[in-house]
Amino acid sequence: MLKQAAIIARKEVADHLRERRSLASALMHLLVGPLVVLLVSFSMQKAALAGMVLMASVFALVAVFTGGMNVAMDVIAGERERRSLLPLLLTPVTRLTVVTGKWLAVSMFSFLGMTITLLALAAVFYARGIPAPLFSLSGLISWIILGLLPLAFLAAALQIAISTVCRTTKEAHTYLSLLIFVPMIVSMCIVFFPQFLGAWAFFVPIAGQQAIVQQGMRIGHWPFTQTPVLVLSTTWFTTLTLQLAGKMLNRDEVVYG
Amino acid sequence: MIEAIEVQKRFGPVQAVANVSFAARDGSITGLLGVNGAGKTTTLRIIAGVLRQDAGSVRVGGRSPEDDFPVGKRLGALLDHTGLYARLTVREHFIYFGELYGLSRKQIDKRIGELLNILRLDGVAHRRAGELSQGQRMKVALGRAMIHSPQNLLLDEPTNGLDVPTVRSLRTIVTQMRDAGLCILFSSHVLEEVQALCDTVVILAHGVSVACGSTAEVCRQTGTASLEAALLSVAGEAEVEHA
Repeated sequence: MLKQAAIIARKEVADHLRERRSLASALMHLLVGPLVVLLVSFSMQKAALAGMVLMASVFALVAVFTGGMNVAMDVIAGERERRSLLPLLLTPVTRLTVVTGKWLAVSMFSFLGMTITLLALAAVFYARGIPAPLFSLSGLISWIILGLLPLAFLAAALQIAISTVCRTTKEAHTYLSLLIFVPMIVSMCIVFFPQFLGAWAFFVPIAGQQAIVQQGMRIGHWPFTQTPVLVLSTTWFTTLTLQLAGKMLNRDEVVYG
Repeated sequence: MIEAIEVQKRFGPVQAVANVSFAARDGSITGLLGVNGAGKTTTLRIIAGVLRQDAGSVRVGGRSPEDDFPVGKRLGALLDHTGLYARLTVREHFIYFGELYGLSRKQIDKRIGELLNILRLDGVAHRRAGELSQGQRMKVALGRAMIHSPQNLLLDEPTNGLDVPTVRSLRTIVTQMRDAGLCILFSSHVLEEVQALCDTVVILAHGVSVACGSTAEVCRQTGTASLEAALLSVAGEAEVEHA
């Protein structure tokens, strides 16, 4: 199964790296956050600049969902629309394997998108002399591996599941655009209402990723004790979503509309 | 060999296939003939294993899709549309599907050489599918269906929208495959094509296989003088029964 999923993922990555318009569009979206942070930093007092990490973390979460969105809408809904999904389903590959292969490809684009945004944010922080341990090399690596990478896998799984039930790319675009509001709203609520933050947040993906950043800021280092719980819960949601997408792809009405 | 025995399939209130039975032999072309909505495409999709029938059974090369789902390794199918990836080259299509069918890179390279030659696609092997003509795209889709050298081949109206030279070229290819011993199940609503190509004809009307045999046998079974008259006769009778 893994070998066939890797074949599908490799094809999707190669195919979508040739889609330059889509890549350019994703890049523009990914750089909006760092640009906003840069512009806002000019209007703030030096002492208040450290608080900009919160704003940056919201953009980082959104970038996780932005990076693979175009690919996610194309790999299943787009394939259905162009009728290239049926030849794929005729091969001796299970539906779950098809979903897994496409999820791996979308995850890679989500991860790339997130990395681009984080590097651009780090460059902004460095250029503006904003003190932020989270944007040091070790801080970034911890944030990516322990926080954002599992979220990239979950974001890709959610996007694949939504794309599976959509008939056209346009329909998938509508729903996936709405999905981006989820990390935006959740993380902003946590930024503006930190009093509601509790241990529960580390069991809930997205909320947990934002909570971990805020706790890290408060205690001055990455909160390693809560991280395993968050990684496990995010991975559990990812597995569940992928299995659901695989089951949906088995339904006649999903394949043929 | 492909066998369908009393196959039924319903989509909500629509009985797409009510009772289809026939056998398609190796080394022959079997034509599924019927007017639009007769159940040809649904029958082919059930045989291909991408749809599951509600009742009845299907055997491809002696095995049922339920026992071995999907039946991909013994079957090649060109259903509904070419469904190519516009940004992949012809060669990349063959490699991708060859890998999914579990072929080694050496086997794939050998098979690509054969297919490019059979389908006369040598000149466009490195061109992207989006840059090909409709006829070339159909040939690539056919090559994709045959990359794993299947013994059984399903073709759903493969000549739709093609010009005369391409149709003639495709017919020659299909005939060559039949002569090589493949079992080919071919659906069409073009009578001339079915008459020119098929050794056996199965007429479907409202999801029921109403006549089966050579053109002469079908005419005898229906008491008509031509395949066209037979099709109209059985389709009309089925409509009356259906009503």
